[in-house]
Amino acid sequence: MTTVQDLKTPATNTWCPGCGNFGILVALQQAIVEMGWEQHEVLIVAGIGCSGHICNYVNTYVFEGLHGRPVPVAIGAKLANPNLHVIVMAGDGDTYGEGLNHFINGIRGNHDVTMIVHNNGLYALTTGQSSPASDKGFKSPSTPAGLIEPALNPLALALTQNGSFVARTAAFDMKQQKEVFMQAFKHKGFSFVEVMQHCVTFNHVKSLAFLREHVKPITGHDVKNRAAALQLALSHELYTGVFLDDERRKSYSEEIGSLVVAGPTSEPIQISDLMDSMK
Amino acid sequence: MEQNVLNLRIAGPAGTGVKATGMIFSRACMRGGLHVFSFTDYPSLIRGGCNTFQIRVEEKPVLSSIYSIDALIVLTPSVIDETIAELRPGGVVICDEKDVPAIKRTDVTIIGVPTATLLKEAGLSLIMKNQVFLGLFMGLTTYPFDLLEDTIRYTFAKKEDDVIVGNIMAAQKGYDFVKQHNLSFDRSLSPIEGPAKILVSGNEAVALGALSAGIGLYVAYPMTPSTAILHFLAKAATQKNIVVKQGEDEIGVANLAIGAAHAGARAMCGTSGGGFALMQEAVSLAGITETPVVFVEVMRGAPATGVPTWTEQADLRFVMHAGHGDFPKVVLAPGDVDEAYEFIQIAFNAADKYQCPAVLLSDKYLGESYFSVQPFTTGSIPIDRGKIETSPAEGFERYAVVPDGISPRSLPGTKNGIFVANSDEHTPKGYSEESIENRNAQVEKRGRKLAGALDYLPKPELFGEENAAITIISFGSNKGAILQAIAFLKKDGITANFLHVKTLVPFHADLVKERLMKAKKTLVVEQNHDGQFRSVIRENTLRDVDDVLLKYSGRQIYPEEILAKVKEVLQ
Ligand SMILES: Cc1ncc(C[n+]2csc(CCOP(=O)(O)OP(=O)(O)O)c2C)c(N)n1
Ligand code: SF4
Repeated sequence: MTTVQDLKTPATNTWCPGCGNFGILVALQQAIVEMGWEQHEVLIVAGIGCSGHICNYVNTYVFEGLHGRPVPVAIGAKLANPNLHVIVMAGDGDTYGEGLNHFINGIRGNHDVTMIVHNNGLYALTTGQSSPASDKGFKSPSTPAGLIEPALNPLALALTQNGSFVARTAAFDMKQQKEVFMQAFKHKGFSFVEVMQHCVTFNHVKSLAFLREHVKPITGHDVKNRAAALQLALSHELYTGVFLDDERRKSYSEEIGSLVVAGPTSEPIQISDLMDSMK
Repeated sequence: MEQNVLNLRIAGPAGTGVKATGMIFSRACMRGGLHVFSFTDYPSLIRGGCNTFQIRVEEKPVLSSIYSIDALIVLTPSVIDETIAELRPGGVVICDEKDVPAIKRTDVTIIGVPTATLLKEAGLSLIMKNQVFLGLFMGLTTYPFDLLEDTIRYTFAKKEDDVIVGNIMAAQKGYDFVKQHNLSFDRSLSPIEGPAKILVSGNEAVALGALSAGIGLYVAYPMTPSTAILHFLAKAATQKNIVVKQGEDEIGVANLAIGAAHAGARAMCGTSGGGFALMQEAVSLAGITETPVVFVEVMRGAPATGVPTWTEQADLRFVMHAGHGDFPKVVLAPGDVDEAYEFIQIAFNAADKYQCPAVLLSDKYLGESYFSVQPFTTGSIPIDRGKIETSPAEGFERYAVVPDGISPRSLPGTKNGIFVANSDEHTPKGYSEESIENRNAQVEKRGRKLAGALDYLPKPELFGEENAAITIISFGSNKGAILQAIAFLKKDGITANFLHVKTLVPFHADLVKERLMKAKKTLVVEQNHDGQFRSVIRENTLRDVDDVLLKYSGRQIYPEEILAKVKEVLQ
């Protein structure tokens, strides 16, 4: 049995004191423990950013890839070894900026991985520039006069692109986060969880106080009702909880029959039949 | 009358079955024991333009195409002017009778075929026109009709009976036309004894080699001229139990391959120059995470979109220097289909042995040309997965600083094998770490990994006489044209030899230098404008060559051009 203690690493944590990432880390560790997963069966694929630094703090297999590119790495690993529990941990810059194409196509493919986005509304590691998740008017070093573009609506995007699991939670809410993560882990298909994460150093608009005041846990909602989920996602309220959890669509692995192709050895694949058609 | 020495071109707009017709001819010859080499030229469009398929037939393995053609089949008049210049005086043009006036040359034989009448007589549709031409040409060379019939049956095996019979009847009409009109030609074809062969392209050879190497996953974004690898493997995927996927873009493709390789599959992705440009950051990622992943770059004319369906070798330095930063990688360049089949397997082994990215550098001319060869043998290159730790002891360090730099890796899912594969510089366990000592230790660890690789990777091969008057040095698909040129030169009393460099990264500098020092004259042949290979030789050996033959029109180098250049250099 894996314990939370097992999931800790000796690496020195470099997040700012009070950063929302701590909450995400703890909730993640608790959820993995409660899933009853062995730590070596878990592969976390991280992006690059303050969020990506989580790669150093969870004692499971981790792949910290390139900025914006964790989704394809995760898909590749899952296709190669469907027995792994694959979790993507990425920033909003990673996901909605640099890697938006991968995000949308991960959803389209309904690959059986969980994607957790640390949405702090900006690019923290590069000192606070605006991100596609920043609101119009957001003032940052790269947009001193205020951001011109409006924020992307990732939940609505996922819901309209046939996403099979869409949720939002908040980094300060340990209980809800853990529950949402576990529900996402159990879901067959691409499960997308956005975590509203406070950045104490750069985001003075969507601060911890702001988030505490504004998040609204969803009540009385049918998680198989996409239209209702979309209404919640398009609302100006900051709803949290599971918007959609619908397994009626097959996951990619189910579609292709979930081949296990990875292992420490490889055997040649017969080609004589293929060469017969070249005679 | 010359027997079993022939160069035929079929020309027509895109969408008129130029390639299909050429493939039937090639196969019919091959099935009669003859050797063929066929290549295709086509512009980047789906309808119209001028596509050609050219087949050279000999009794021995055909090394390359040659410039001069003996016979030309034109499917529509629109392509005549573009394609008739290479027809030798005395050669033959076969076309529809209506198109005869469009042919301006008077030094060639023109056969105008009443295709509409012939097909009508047989109750066949006009779309069978190509088979009439093909049958006629076979009749002209006096090749046995049953070999053509047999090939048509083989080609259309999955079609309905009436399609097969119709095609055969159309071909028969053309074949009989020759006798009825007493037509003759100064070249003939006749079956010979020989082992069974396959007709295979460079791209197909790569796909077959990847299967022999035990590939688990192939991912690609369509891009000429690499796409045939995707199509071939996609078709085989279900039956062969492998995953073949079209990715959303080349960045996703390369990262997906890395993820699969990290999880333990043998993973490969294929593209051409523009796609490989998008993969650069991922190549570098494979470098620092020490992930064994195989890339296939089938070069086409660049820069940017360039001449997308034509051949070139101008990505040479780009591929050799792929990815930002210092890290070991392997680049192999096959010269023909046998080498393509072999080198892709070596690339997989090298990627696993040295835990690094390996690139197979091919080009359009090799990738899309068809060679008749003996079927490939499986198992000739044993699979070597390198150092994989399947039962790590507690405290296992994935990136341990070991003397040869190659620290055993564990696959996700393995107990006690946990580590971080980190694109940031990392400790032996994989945690991000930027201290001077750690940084130096890890850079140097990676830097040591290829120390033994020159022994394992294919060494430069010398073809021809030791004491030749000139040494030609080249790489990749120029091999055939150079060997053919050497054979031609011999007839003219000139001895030339050829150093075929197979591994580009790392570089067998000592062996190349030794050859340069022995050579009386040296000539580099390469298909780009800047003389990239020449400069690679210079920087690795600190010696220059006497001359260089460059070509960058998008058309492959012909033996005739090499022959002329050699004579110029030796003057
Ligand atoms: C290709 C590339 N471009 C730019 C960067 C620089 N960079 C590092 S992190 C980052 C943004 C991080 O923002 P986000 O993904 O939201 O993560 P956060 O730091 O906010 O957690 C950028 C632009 C990079 N590492 N790679
Ligand atoms: S900069 Fe912001 S996101 Fe980064 S560690 Fe500090 S508080 Fe957290």
